[in-house]
Amino acid sequence: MLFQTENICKTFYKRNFFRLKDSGLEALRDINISIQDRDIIGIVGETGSGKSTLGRIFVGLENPSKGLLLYNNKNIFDLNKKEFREFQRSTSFIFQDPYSSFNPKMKVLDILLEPLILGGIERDKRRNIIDEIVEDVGLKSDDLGKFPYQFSGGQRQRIAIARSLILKPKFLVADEPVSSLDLSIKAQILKLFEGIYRKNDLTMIIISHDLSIIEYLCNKSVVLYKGLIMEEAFTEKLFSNPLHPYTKLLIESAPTLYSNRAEDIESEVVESPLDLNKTILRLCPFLERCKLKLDKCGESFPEIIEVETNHKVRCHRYG
Amino acid sequence: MALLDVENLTLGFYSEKNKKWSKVLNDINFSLNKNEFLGIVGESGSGKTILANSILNLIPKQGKIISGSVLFKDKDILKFSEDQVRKVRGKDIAIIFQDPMSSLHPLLTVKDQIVETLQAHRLIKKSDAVEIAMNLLKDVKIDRPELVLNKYPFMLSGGIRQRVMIAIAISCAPEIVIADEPTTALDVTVQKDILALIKGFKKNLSFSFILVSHDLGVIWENTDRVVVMYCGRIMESGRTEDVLRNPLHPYTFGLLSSIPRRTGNKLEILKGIRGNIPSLHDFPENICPFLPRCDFATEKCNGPIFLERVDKDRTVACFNKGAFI
Repeated sequence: MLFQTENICKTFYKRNFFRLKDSGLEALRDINISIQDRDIIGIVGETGSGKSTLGRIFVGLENPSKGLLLYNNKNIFDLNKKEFREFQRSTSFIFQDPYSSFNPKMKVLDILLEPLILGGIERDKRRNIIDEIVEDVGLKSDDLGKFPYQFSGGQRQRIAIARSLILKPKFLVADEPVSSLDLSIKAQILKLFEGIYRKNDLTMIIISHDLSIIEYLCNKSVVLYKGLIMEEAFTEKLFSNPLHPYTKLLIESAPTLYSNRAEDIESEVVESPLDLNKTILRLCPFLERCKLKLDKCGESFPEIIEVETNHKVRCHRYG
Repeated sequence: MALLDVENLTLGFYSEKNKKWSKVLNDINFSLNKNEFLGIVGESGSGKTILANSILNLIPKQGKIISGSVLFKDKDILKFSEDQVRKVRGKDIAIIFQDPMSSLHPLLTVKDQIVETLQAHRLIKKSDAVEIAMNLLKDVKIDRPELVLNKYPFMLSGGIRQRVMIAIAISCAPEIVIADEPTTALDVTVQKDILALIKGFKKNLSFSFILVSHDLGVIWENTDRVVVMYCGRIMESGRTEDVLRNPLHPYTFGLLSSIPRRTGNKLEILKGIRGNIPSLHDFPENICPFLPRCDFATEKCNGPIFLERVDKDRTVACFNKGAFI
């Protein structure tokens, strides 16, 4: 087991004029995920479901308010500085936006050199490593002298991938790696991800709102809603037999080329003051949007249950 | 008789770098019939948005119409004076812009923005306009519209903001609604609702609709006819079923094969397209723009290319139509 989270919660507070905390915004609640070596975990959910926060916690960019994050059976937030440095060296992160995650005044060569210098790689080895990684991600060697603005979105994403893989991490979190890219470029980058996974000894977390990316890349999937895990299963299981109404809704809503075009759907009425962040813990968080609700859904908060082996769902219908 | 006819539209941008005009739109021809849902699809940088905007004569300063016309009910919008165009915009042809965040005025409440449109095109009292605005918000399926009316755009979620945009667009019962990537920034569940909403209006209000999108799934589910664009040119157009099921142009074929496809129990990407779309100053003029990325190119492809009619309602710009079949 590489990673194990135990009841991770994250609450963001705003402070008012008197420096007093407000009631807080619960971004994540009781997250329990275990990640094996060589897994590719997909985290999927709508905007504001806490996907990115969870990803940031996994690489230590964000401290959880409660709970443990065990990496090789050690809580990473108890590590001393040196050990934490080592942990950070073995993990890596690809940010959502390839346009703003580079220093615009640095050339690609410097962008790629920076992690090598920080990682303490000897001077004479650095150039070889860069040349190798540049070829792996499909860039040309004369791209190294250019600035980020001279590249298109897809090329920038390749630079971001190169930067994150240059220290040969064991664990990689990619936050929406292809969401801002065009269709043909998206396919190229997805294939690149497949390739680097096969070539390196990597464990990955892919965060995306696009179900087809998750289905394409990941072997396990986690569905988040309002900071709660709603369903967790092997990807094949999740997509062939989704149990939670929310997962079903997500899968149905995704436009595909294979759907029946004739169907006419009525648009749902939305409540005007949408308050996505308020989680009522006495009842099912998905209650207002659920089409399959039962009486008891409004009465108690559903716990996550293992319906089949490795298929967990948080829904009263399976309780 | 088509409602909107775009004929040989060519739009140039002056490129400081190359010291010449580069054609951002190159010989665009298509028509929109009454009550038709037309999709415009292509990668970013292929000129979809410029095309949608130039239908309303919203041409950026550095742009110049080199040739062509946009005929709305047989009148050329591109030849209208600014005053004449203003009468058409919002009233006969409405547009829903890409980003609901930046296309609503941040300092005006929702009420002010809807009322403004109504009063610009109709002689009505403000109190009547407010009532109409309220009903419009009800029509776009917003529960308790009175709460939304007095809010500023930043207080609303993306889905509601886009609904407000739609309310403004349909407020004057337009004949054509252009939606430029109306759902790109939204969640899939919200996207489905918004598109269902637009479809519902089509039934009741009977307008023609131009949907600009890069998502082939959205185009497939919502349009009757589709225009595939690349580098400012139309590569292929025809009925959606024909174009997306039996593509004839290698570009359409490449786009379709870039989408993960289900084979058995797994998703697979079959082929995809190599390379990148050139930036607009490097759009090739006289050869097929797709040539550098095409796997099926022959020597002929170095010559000038034109859109050819292959069927009653189907045009393709390629020398080797269907070479990949």
